[in-house]
Amino acid sequence: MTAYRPRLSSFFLGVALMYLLAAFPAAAHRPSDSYLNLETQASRIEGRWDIPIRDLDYVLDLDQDRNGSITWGELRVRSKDIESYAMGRLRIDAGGQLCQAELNPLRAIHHSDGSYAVLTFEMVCPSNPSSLGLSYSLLFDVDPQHRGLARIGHRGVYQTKVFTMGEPHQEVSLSDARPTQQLLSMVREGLVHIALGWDHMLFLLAMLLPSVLARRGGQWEPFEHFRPALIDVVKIVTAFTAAHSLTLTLAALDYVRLPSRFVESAIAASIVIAALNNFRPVFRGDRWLVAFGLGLLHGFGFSSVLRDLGLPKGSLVVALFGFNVGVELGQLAIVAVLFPLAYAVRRSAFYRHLVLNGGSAIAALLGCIWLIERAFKVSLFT
Amino acid sequence: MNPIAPPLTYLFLTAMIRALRKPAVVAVALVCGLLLAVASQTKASVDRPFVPASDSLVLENLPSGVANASTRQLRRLREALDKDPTNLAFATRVARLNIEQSRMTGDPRYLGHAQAALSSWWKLNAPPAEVLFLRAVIRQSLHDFKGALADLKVVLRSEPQNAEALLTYSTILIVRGEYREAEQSCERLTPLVSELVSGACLATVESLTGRARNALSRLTTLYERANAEPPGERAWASSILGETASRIGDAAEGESYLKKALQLSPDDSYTLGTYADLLLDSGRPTEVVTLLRGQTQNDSLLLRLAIAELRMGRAEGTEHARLLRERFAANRRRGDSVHRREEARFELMIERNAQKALQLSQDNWDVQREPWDARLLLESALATRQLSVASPAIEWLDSSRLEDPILRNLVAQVRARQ
Repeated sequence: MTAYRPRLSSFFLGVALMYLLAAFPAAAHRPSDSYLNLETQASRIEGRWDIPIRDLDYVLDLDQDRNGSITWGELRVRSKDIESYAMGRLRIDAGGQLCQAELNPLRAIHHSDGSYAVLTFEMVCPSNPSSLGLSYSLLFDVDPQHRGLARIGHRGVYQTKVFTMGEPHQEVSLSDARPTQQLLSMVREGLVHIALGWDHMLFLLAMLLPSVLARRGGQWEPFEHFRPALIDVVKIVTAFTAAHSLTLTLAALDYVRLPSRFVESAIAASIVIAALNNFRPVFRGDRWLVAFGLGLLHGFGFSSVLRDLGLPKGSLVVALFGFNVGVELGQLAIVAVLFPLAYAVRRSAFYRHLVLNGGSAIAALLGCIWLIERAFKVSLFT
Repeated sequence: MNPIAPPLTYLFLTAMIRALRKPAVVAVALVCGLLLAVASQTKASVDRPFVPASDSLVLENLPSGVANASTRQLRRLREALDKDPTNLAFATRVARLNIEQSRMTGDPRYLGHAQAALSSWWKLNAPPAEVLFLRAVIRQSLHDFKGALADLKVVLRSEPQNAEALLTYSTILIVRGEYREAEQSCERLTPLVSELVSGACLATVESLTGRARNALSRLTTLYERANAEPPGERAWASSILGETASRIGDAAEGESYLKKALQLSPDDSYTLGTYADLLLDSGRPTEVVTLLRGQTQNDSLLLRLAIAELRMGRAEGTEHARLLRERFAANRRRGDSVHRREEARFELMIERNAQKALQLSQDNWDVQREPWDARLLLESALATRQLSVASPAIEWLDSSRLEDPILRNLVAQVRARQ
């Protein structure tokens, strides 16, 4: 073998100088990362793995027409290769026994630094594990600076792990979190759910918009005093809470189970009903009954979130309680902000025409869109 | 069918029909609802996995672009190396080509590929000198300056005439603020390279140690008689001239040299960044937006673009700031600390979180000591009124006797408030 003589290429030198003197950030672009999310529940693991398409092209040569860009078609025809390449480099075992993965169809996602292929899978482990052994070796052979960023969720508690070339094995303990920690994390999940659950919020809004008004002679008239308005709000919020707590508990304890497509569609319909009821009330003084009846549906909706989080059998009550408290706190926060505002401007035409009518109309329309999307499993606006 | 379904459907339909009798309500609802739904969906498609509707949807544009001679060469070499991974000649050529790519594009993936090519020797205590040099280059690019200096010392012990190693060594010392040693190693370079290259090396040290005028006149002479030198080297010298001139407060001369550097090497991100800083400091953000249009891949340039856009009140600034926020967060998740300087500037000038900027610029100061690092430490100390924190930067400025008027002004402000 002839030794390679170091030679001073003036081009290399010139570029090197500029670069070095600058100490310009090496990572002006983002370095290579993959994102691995695992949710464990008993002996099952649900996984989602986002892998940069650029890196997949580097190892699997996806750009068939050599035009410098990767299309969905080029990715799709190689999905089997991508899946076996990736899954061959991720090993999850429980108590020394390998968990077997079943893959769902490939998807894609845009992150801040480019597009990623999304692999989702369900894994079954031979036993109910108390800890997981994760071995990750994706891309380290072609890019030692690559990192696997993992987030592992177990009963509402999340841990993060970073896989590097130097640390490709990680042991994840799934021991139950302390009850207070678990309670807090469930309260947080409840809060997050009400804050991000636009459908629940919109329903509540539609129900509360007319609470500062009384129906007299086919018209909405402002309440004279604070008390009756407050009583109206309290009745509605309490009825809604009682109803969804009831069904949430029943569903979480597995006494009642409704298909999620029906529940999600019905929740969308409940928004439409609540909103339209503001135009031509079918229910008047007994609006709290509506809140109760439709609240039953929303409870089933919450329960699917709880199921996704994977409830611990031992501390189910703690988890249920925490989640409910979170949802209630979220609701109270919304009411506490909106009700005084609405009360203050209840006499204005602005409130009765624009806020009440306009807001209800928007809620009704959004409800309709969701209803169609959820009932027929179509996407209207993509 | 579920027992609740029929009454619900009935209620829903009757209520719908009633509302539909009011055309105004329907019209308003339609418009608002459509707007809201479209808005919520556009955002959703950014961060949710999706199955593209069409096979022809382009998901990613590869940085190598359409296969050309150099990418084909790299591909062939990679394949040869895969078959014979301990072939030193193949490995170092693949590593070099990748390092060149990373320098031209600023893309760190190439550094990883370069490291992978050297994997047979990477962890050895005494790899061949060529591998050791390339390892040092990769390490310094990842801001492991100490590791890089250690490797280079070994290389220079066995090959004292190795110009590449000597030059890399000098430049790391400059970044670390160790000017006396840097100057010595620039001098050792003189017999080995063209007078332009060694002159530029020395001028850089002089411009940072209170001898900027001297550096400017000497390098100008060398630059003016260097027409035969490669454009890359002339661009580099011109860039140093531009920086030195602006460092002594001569923005007009600085600008003309930076423009010349960009004519010789239009895509050079360092010169683009320096020129953008000069424009920002002269209150000319509009020109920064023109200069850096489309530079969204390189975080350092995107940062300057976002600052300029936000100063002009342009909407793109908010979007670019969001991109930067996401990228810094992603870097933190992977445990990178390469971009502390950029992140400190981002926190200080875009997020207006002076406390966080101060922490970052302090951490950054432990690794890098260049004028911008001192500036960020001084500015965030002033913004948080924690003036004593700035003293390392002030001491450094006093001992180096750097003339930069912006930095001098900041020091004066700190002293006035103490």
